[in-house]
Amino acid sequence: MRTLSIAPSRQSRSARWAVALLLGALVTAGCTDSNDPPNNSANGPVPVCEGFPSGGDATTLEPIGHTGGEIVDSHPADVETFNPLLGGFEVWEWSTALIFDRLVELNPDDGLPFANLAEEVPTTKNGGVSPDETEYTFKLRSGITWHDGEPFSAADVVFTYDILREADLGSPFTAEVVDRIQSVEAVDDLTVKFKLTKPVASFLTTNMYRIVPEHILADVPPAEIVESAFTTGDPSATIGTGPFAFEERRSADVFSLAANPDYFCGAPALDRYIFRASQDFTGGYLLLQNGEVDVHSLDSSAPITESNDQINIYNYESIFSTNLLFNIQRAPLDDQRVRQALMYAMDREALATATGGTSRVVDGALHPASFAFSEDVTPAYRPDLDRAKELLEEAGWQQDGDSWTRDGETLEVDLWTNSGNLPREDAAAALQQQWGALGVKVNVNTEDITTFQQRYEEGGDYDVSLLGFIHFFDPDDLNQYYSSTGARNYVGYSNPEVDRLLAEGLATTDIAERTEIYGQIESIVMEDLPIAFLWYNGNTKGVSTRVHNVLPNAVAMELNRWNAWSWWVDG
Amino acid sequence: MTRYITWRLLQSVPLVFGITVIVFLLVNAIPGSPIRNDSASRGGAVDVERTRELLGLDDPLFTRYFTWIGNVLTGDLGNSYVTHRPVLEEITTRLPSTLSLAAASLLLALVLSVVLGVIAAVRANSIVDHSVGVVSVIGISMPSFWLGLILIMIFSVELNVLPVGGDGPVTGEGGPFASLPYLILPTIAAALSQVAAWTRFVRGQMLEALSCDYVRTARAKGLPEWVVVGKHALRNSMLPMVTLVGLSLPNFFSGALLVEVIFARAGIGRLAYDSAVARDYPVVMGTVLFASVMVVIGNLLADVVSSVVDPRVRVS
Repeated sequence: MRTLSIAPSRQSRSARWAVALLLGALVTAGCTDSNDPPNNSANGPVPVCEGFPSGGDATTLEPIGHTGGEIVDSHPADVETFNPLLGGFEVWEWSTALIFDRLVELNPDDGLPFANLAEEVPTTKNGGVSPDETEYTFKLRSGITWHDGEPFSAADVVFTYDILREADLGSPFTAEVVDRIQSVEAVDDLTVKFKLTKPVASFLTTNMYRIVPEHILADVPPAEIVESAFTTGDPSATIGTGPFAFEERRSADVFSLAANPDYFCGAPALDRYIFRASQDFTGGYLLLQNGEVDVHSLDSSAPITESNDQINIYNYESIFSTNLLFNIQRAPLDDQRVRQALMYAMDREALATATGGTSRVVDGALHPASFAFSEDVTPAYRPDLDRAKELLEEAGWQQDGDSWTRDGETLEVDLWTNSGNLPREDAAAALQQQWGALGVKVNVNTEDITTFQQRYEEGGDYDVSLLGFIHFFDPDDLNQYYSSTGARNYVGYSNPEVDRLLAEGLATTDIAERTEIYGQIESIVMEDLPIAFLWYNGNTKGVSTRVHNVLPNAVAMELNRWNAWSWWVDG
Repeated sequence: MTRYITWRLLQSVPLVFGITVIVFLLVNAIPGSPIRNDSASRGGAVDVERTRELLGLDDPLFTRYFTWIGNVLTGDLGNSYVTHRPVLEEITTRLPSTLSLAAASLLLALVLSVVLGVIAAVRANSIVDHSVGVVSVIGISMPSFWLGLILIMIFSVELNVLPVGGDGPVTGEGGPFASLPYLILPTIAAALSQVAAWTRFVRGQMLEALSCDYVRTARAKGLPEWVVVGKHALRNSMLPMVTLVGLSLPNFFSGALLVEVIFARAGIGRLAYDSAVARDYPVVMGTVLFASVMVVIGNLLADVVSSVVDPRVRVS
């Protein structure tokens, strides 16, 4: 066993002085021409890692000007777990992304896989994928070690995928692993072979899980892993292969990761990566402005929208969408024409603007960065009040002054969303106005997120739910929402034709063929309208100008930390 | 005295027990489930059902309660559904943050309110007294979260002399007093409304004491005014204050919640709030149990201290 050695910090000073010094440094930096790099000239080597993407919009790195130092990244909630197999919300993903590696990762430039722990991405061309696309063989990079010095091998990969099959582990990935993967075996120390139950086109993008150490977890019964030191965070147990190693939990909501000097892309430029909770967007912005954190996600309430001497602002598409769930099980929205009328009465560009973000309105359901994305989805619901009125009349509603009636009933919808989410509350208010212009009365209701989730997940009492989804880049993402057995098909949508096409789309890896199939699916579901995709949310990240090589983008999402090994800070 | 304390502690057992029953019923009556269909999950309903089963959430309510209370009696508060860490550990790691804030704001509130209250009483109906009165009313009506934000705007954003939030420096080594600057603004925010209330109380007590016979006697003996006020009147008028402070102890824990959120402090108030939102039942129950024990102890301490300092308060 070997412990990580970190250059000791010589800073011994009160926090007050730390703040004063930091601000002094920022003020000094602000006096220089902002086009010049501040204190350091970036004259070190350009960081390169074999197999990693380099040279695209999102992957061109600047030379490292200084090594050492720490950065503080703020997250909006408390730490959940450090176990990459268990799943959770942002914080879990942010930190496990730095500690653990997958066999392949997604290239931020094109959304396609690149080799990470694997030496190269298996394809049918290089013989890594069998002609019937049910066998994948990965060659692993040699010489990789775990943070505790133990060698990494194919046995760890086999162990990870085997433990994921255990129901007692309580992992959200188990159902899909069992469904898609038949067996995983180690051919030799550095070769691992996956046998799938059927061809799965999205296998390399959605079923790559972070590899965990067999030597730490082999003796822990699956049911006990969830409460083990590995999961809750312990430098001797939370062991990965990534650029940073779990160092310590400094308080309930602050924890630090230390650079892994033996990382296979070379030692990170930073000494330490610290996470702290900042509670809310506004408080986090003040921390960023005062130099108490270096990285923070901003919302529309932040008083800056452009980079300045202290803070660089990055706007990028996220993988979160904003959607409307239509309750297709009860009147009045059980009638497709009423749903379509609501779509025609909506001006999504205006709505997106009202929410203050830099969101991207889409006509279909696929993410703009997906290879199957199309600008020409039909029907595309452009604002058209006359068409909306026609549709309502076809559905048997009669205009009666400012409202619509049918059999003595007035047309009104109950719109639900969660409280405390400003963009959603703004969107709800704008929707009320836009649908009101058509003569549809909208009752806006808000409740706390957990209660709200139960309402729509259990197909409860609502007409329209305004909510967000998180997406995968493979177009098989649509399966979640539109398959009659989809995990997020909360509205109970079922269309045999869509089910058939979804199965077809997953059974081939031919990009042109798949693009065609998912295009057909989009046309059908936009006509049927169980769910309306309004837009993909824009994300804004504020990063202190002392931090370099931060490249946030849609594919890497919060995993814009994909290149954290090459981040550096001014000395 | 020992018998009295034992008796009081025994009395509080059914009280705490009752609180846990009520809270258990309440948190389970709120709609929503601790098992969220995670954004990361692709299995959907299958995974949700399996996880519910693993956590025993489908067992009848009373079975779950008795399992929980049985474990508590053996010292096991369970594990958080969110972080999977032991609840006891979650509470103890947050204890220093909450205790330091509670102690500092209690101290500040006491000192300020006694000083202001005495001045107001001695100079009763003067301009000073009226000013203290006006300030008190403002203090009572000013919500602590609002005051907290104003303090941050002035001292952190504009003047840059104090940190915006947190429990202490997250970088560097700092030294033993490094976290003191982080305590200043939250302490002021948490203490001020209490100062306002207590100042009114101290003023009233002092006015009453100053009109007592023994004060007239002391003055008649020719004692200097500061001895009359400071030694005779003040000490007597402080007795009811002991009880009042004891009863206010829970305020310093519950009131700390908003302050903890505003100043991003990792304290127990915030833990209780976050776990209630996440329906993290074991943590909700753990924090409630902790808070009720603190209240019981606070009240007991107040009773014991007042019987020690004031022989007129008999315990039997």
